[in-house]
This record gives sequence, structure tokens and C-alpha cells, in this order.
Amino acid sequence: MRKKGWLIGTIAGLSLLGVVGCSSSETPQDVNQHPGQGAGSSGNEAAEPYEISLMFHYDVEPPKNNSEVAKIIEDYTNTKLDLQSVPSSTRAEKFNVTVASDNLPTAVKAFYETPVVNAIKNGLFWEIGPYLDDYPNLSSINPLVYDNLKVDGKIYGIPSVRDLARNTIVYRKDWLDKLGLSEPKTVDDFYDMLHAFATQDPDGNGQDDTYGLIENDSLFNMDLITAYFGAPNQWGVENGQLVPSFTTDAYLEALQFYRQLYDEGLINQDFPITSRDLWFNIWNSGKAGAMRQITGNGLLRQQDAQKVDPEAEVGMVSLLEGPRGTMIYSERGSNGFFLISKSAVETEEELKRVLTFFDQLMDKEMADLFNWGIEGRTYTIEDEKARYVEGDAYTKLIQPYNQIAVGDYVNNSTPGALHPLHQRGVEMNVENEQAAVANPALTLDSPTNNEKGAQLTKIIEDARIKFILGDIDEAGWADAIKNWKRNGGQDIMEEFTAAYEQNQS
Amino acid sequence: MQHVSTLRRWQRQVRRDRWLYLMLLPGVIYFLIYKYLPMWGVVISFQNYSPGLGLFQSEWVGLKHFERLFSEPTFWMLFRNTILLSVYQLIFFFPIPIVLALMLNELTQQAFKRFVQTVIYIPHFVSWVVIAGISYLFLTPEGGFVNELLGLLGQDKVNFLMSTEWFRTLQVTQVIWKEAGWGTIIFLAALAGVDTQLYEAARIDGANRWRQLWHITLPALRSTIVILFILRMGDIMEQGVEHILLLLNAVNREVGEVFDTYVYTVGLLQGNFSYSAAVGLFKSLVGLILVVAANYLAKKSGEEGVF
Repeated sequence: MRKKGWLIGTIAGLSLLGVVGCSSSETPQDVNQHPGQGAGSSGNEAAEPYEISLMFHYDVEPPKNNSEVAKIIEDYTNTKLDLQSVPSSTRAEKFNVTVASDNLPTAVKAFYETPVVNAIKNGLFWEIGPYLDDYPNLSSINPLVYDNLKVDGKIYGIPSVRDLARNTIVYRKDWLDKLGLSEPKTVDDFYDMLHAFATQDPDGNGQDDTYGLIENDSLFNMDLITAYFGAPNQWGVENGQLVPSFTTDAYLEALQFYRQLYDEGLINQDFPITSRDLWFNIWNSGKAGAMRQITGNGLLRQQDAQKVDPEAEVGMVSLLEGPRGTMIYSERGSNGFFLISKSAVETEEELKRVLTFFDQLMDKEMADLFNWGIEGRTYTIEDEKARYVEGDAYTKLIQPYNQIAVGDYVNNSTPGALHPLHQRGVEMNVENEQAAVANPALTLDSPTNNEKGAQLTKIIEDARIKFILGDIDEAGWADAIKNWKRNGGQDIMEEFTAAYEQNQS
Repeated sequence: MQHVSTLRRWQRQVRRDRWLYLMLLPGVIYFLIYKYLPMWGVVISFQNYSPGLGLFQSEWVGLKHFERLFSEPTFWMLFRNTILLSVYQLIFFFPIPIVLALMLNELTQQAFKRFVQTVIYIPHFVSWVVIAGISYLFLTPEGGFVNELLGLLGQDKVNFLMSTEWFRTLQVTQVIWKEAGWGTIIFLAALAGVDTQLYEAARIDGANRWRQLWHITLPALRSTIVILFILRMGDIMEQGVEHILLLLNAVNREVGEVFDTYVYTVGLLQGNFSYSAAVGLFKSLVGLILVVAANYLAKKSGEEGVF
């Protein structure tokens, strides 16, 4: 009996230990939360590497701690990095969860979205505006880019700069040549091109299996099309009032144009259930004539298409003349920004150390790393111009870390000998900027939008797709807009208008 | 006086069974820390919770979030969609594992029975993402297998994935395909507990297979069925959020949007923590009421309840 008692006691004790063991395994996280402790003072001696944890997203391959690239950054900036990467598809969720659980790293890469703005307003992050002058690199960033990221008129984010107007239609130039057409200049030309791609068997396999334009469930091409018809960039100003783009006549005309494309079978008929991945698959299968991309990705799309059809060639066109002239939407000018958390970086002194780190990331050495990689491995230098080595060395080795780069790392790095398509993209971005229309509501604040924006947007997004499919007509579209207004849209318009007036005065 | 003796008896019992109590302790601690402590989080549904201020400094707003939920124009749509999907599952999914279990129970070849069991368990381990992918390949109007077949037979294409009519059928069918086999486990376990002497006695009395099923097997399963039914009532407001999100698109949202996907939109995508907590609390309350009611009815009709 005694013996048995001991046995049971041991089991009970061991299982207790299990519980304790589980809970104690969580403590290292606490340490991570305050990486600055102790290291803050030693920053002066420049001996001890300063601990920095960074949260950011990746697209294909996750970055790794203690990897070769991480070591290079650590050595250059005298830091110890803890890279917390998340897949880009779950980026927004992850940010919210991290904020809600009060588990923020030193700095987190964020985008100008309602939850992020709310978190900034709640005082979770450092305002960096007043410190920028002390950092030559950070203060060299285009002020317009900082302006587009302001919250309540203050600067919080360290942006990864990119061009303002990079959107383009990527199309199969080899098909265009084969069908004897020239690059479209107007919306009508564009329609003719798509029509020919879909109906004249451009891949020459004798089957009716090609699409003019391919679309996915987020109606990705729509922003370009509405711009061609002259609808404002998300929000427009009419008689001093801010009105959403989708209430304009131009927007409706764009929708009608798109419905025609769908009716005539120039678009993949199952686009409302075509995910982004499937969308790329259609392109890669060599069945697609055109899709919206950014100018920088033209070369990638050409390489993808060439896997199936070695003759494939890609052309890009951004500016098409429509009924109201030629325009394109400009974006924010940055690809996300780093926010420095107050819970992980407790003192001003530590903040300065972190800012130094980001300032150093903009040095030419670091910009070269992010843009070109490691000399001899991912690029070579000829005639003082950098050139990527053949193959995917850069994509494999450097791409996962690209999101860490801040500032305009492309222009800060060594000039390169670019592929003609790449070169064309750079030139197009400059041309596009001349025709670019800005979104006047970019940094305007509306409490109703913060609270209900996402739900309300769904009303319009769903209605657009239904309109294109023919499930609803013009009256149904007008109902959707009414619905949007009634459920809070009217308030958003008024709040934006008030904020806009305040900014103007 | 009696109080003292109760206390003393209790003390004696604890000392006698101290090792058993010690073994109980980890479980109790687990539930306290991971189940009961987080329950206090529901207070944020009465606050304007802001992560910067935390649980204790956030502003109290009373029932504001509940008022917003009930005045939301989509509230009744969400309610209808959620309940309808659950009712469809109760009608079409719930009986299937029972029938399957009864059929398996009739098999005499043990090896064959086990083989079939394993085969029907497998879909349970396939993730919804994969199932959604398979459904897409079969059902898409752009070269999907089913639609190609319909085309060969001279029929019109059916846009299964992009229609309001097919959404619920599709959802319930996928649930049946994935979970029906797995659901048999608990019934098979109950069937294994039936005394074989009962069957022998029935055979001697001349009962055939159907009679045995009706008078012995089904009554043996009855309490299990009732208990699972009661538990199911508690989940009536729950739908697998991952599953529904994968099925949702612009066209079928009016029949497919349920409370769980709504919480995903306003809570996770938009960061309204308090509001989504309020929606969650409302769901739990409805579930609780239904469980208690179902339990009461079960006991009334002479069955054993859950509690």
C-alpha cells in the first residue's frame, strides 16, 4: 500500500512539474520585450551590440536569425537582431494580435491602416518627427512621403520609400506583334487589344483558350480602369466636399466598361473566386494577355511567361487616354513604415539608439546590400555599374530581408546596369508621376471610418463585382451606394470634409 | 456540532485520498489559469478597450457595443445565416454518423470494419484549405470537372461557388464529407459497451436483425445521442470561421456571412477589440441558454442530461 502511494505521489508530482514547466517556458518572451535593458547604457561604449527585435512580413521565404545576411546587418550597425517575420497574408491580423497582447518588438513594420492609426493614437509608438534633424539619412527622405504618413499632423513612421505611381498594365507584347497591333494609347485601343487577345488565338494552338485581361477576387485591375475613365483616386473634392470615387459618373462608366469585358468573355469568368495565387497561375500558364502589375515586376512576369512559352515577351503601358484625359492614381510613396514601440523602447536615450540603427540602414553599404546583395555572389560590378548575376541568387539570399530596408534604398545604392524592361519601368514611374492624381483623404481622420470602414467597404466591393457579373444593374448599384451612405458612409463623408477644411485653413 | 463533524470528516477524507487529490491538482490549476482567468477578459466588451491603456484604465461604456450590434442593419442577416447553417447541419449532418456507426456495427468481418473505419476517418485530417482547393477544381465554371461533365451532357453550367442558392448545400456537404466518419467514433464506443447477452437473449426469443437494432442497439445509443445533441445546441452560433471564409465571395456573402466571419472583419481586420468581444459574448449567451433549455427538456423526458 505504501509503495503504491509513493508511485502515485511521484506521478502527481511529475505532472505538477509539467504544468510549472509549461508556464516557465514563457518567461524568455518577457526578456525579449525589453531588449534595451542594460544595453542602453553600453551604447555609448560602442562595445556591446544593442538588441533590437524587428517584426515585418515576407512573401516567399522567411528571413532567418543568425543568417549570413542578418550577420552583415548586425556587424554594420553593432546590433543583435531578433527578426520576427510573418507571412504577408497574415500581416494585418498579426499586427492587431501583437498590439492587443501588448507584445510589441522594438520596431514593427506597419501600413497606414485603421488599426495601425488607432494604435498610434493610443500612444503605443514614439513620435519621431522632432528627432529627425539629428539623423542625416532619415532627414533626407522626401518630406512628401513623411506627410503621407502623418497621424494628427505628427510623424511616427520610418518609411520604406518607393515611387508614387508605379501601376501598369503588363501585357504580352509577342501576342500584340503577332496580331499586328501596336501598343494601346487610348482606352479604345486597350479594349481592341483585349478583344484580339481573347478571340484571335494569339498563342496559335487553334483553341479558344486565352483571356484578354485576367482578374482576381479583389478586383485588382479596377483602380487602373477607373483612373482611365477619370474617376478620382479613392476620394475626390467636389464643391469643397469630399466624395468617394465610387459615387461619380466616371466610376460607373468604368464599371460598365468592365461589365462589357466580362460579358464578352475577355476576362476569366470565375474571377470572384480566383485567389491571388490562382491569378498568377493563370498568367504563368501562358493563357493571359494582360494584368495589372507594378512597373518593377514586368521582368518577373516575362520570366514567368517564358517558362511555358520561350518566345514570350512583355510590354508595359500605364497611361491611356480616356474620355476625361489621361490620369493614373498616385500611391503613398512608401511600402510600409517602421514604428518604434514605447513598451520595448522605454527611454529617449534608447529611442535615439534605435533611430541610429535605422539611420545606418540607409547608408550606401546597407542600401547596396538590400538592393544588390553581396558582391560576387548576387551581383558584380562592371564599369562602376552593378549587375545581378544570372539566376535567382538575389531572390533566394536577399529578398527575405528586403522589408527591413528603409528610405529610398534603390536610389541610395550603386547605380546598376538594368535589364531594358527594368529600365523602362524606372522611366515609366517618372512619366506616371506627371499624370498622377493624389488621394485627398490619405491622412484625413474620420472616427466612423475607423470604426466601420472595413464593413462599409465590403458593401461597395461586393456590389462592384455583382454589377460586373450582371447580378445587379445601375439601380442596384445606386442602392448599394445609398446603403453605404445610410450605414455610416454619410458620416464618413462629413467627417472627411470637416478634416479636409481644417487642413486647408 | 454537526458542522464540526462534517468538517472533520472532510479533513479525514482529504488526508486519506491525499495522493488522488494531488493528482487532481494539475488539472485544477490548468483550468484556473487557462480557462477561468482569461474569462475576465469579457469585461472589455463593456469598455472602449485600448491596448495602450490596458484592461484597468480603459474607459467604461456600459452596453454601447451591444446596442451597436443589435442596431446593426446586418444583424438579422447574420442571425438568420448562422442559425440556418446550424439547423441544416442538425438535420443533414447530425444523423449521418449515427447511421454510419450502426452500419459499421453490423459488419461481422473485423478486419474489413477496421479498414472502413480508417478510410472514413481520413478526411477529418484534411485541412479546409485543401478541401476548398479541391472544391474549386471540381466546381469552377472555367474548366472544372463537374461543369465540364454537365457540358458534355448538354446541360448548362452551374456556378456552384458563386451563387446564393448553392452556398448552404456546399457548406453542409463539405462538413459531411470531412467530419461524418470522425463523428462515428463516439457512437461506436457506446455500441461496444452493449452487453452481448442482450442480443443472445433476443435471438432466442426470435428477434431478427431489425428487431435487435430497434429494441437493443438504438436504446443503448439513446443517451449518447441526447448528450451530443445538447452539446451541439451550445454550438449553434458557431460556424468554422476558416471554412466559411474560404467559401465566401462577393456573390454569396448575403447568405454566407455569419457571426464568426463578422467578428473576423470587425475584430481582426479592423481592430475593434471591444466590439468583437461583445459579439462573442452575445454568441456565448445564446449558446448557454440553448444548452440549458435542451438539458432541461432532456431531463423532463426522462433522459440523463449533461449536468
